[in-house]
Amino acid sequence: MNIARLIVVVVAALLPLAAPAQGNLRFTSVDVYIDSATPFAAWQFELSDRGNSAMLVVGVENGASPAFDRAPYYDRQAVQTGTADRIVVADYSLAQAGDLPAGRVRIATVHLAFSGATEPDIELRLVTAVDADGRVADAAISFESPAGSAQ
Amino acid sequence: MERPTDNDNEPQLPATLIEALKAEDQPTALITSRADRALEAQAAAHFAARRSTARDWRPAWYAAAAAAAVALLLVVPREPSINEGIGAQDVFYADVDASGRIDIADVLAVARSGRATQPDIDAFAARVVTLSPPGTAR
Repeated sequence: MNIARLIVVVVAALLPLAAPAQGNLRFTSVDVYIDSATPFAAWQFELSDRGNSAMLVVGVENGASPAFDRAPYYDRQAVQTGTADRIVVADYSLAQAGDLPAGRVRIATVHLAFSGATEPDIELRLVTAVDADGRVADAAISFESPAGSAQ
Repeated sequence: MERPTDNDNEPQLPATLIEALKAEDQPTALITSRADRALEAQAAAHFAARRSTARDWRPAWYAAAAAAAVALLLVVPREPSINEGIGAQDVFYADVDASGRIDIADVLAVARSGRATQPDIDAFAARVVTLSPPGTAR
């Protein structure tokens, strides 16, 4: 009986160590901005993690511009199956030139989950941004997260 | 003088009608079980012959209907769904603007051209943003 009690105590002590990694799962979101002097009609960016935070993209939503008022294009299947350790997001608009956004515009918000000890080291790359005629716009991309980190 | 009876006041049927009604009132002809079995066998043989004739036509009718269904499937084009767009709309997946890369700018060009349907455009864009390596089935 003393041995049985000892086994129970040892197992109870070891159970927290055997808890699944999901217990350490954390979530954050990243607001992505394009800053363009000229109105842009299409954009595309790639977001990944330079670190080892085991980041996964768990959702993408559209930004603030009425010209891009629907959910952008991204690999939905990868996100839904939990395999999106990076993401390519893009969208276009057929709005009139006068209704296209310019300046600093939030184009998307990317929701992330990570389980590493450190937060993701976000790498953001603007693939392209073009105006209504398909000409490359002189634009820059940046992001902000609620934790205050930005690039 | 005889007293009148109730029968004297009843209408009289014509004699020909009376004779005809008497002729109908004959005992029912009995059909023996032997005769009944003979009649049943003749009826079964008659209808069996008709069924075999109808059965001979069915395979041909079925074959004609199946051929027509296959012809319809081959001739009538299906509206492609967005779910089968990836890999199925290679006509539009191209470097339309000659930028050296296939990206959302090419999708915009196709969308502005009016040559593609929305499902075509969506499928093109889905290929642009896919995380799968080229040629990998998902």
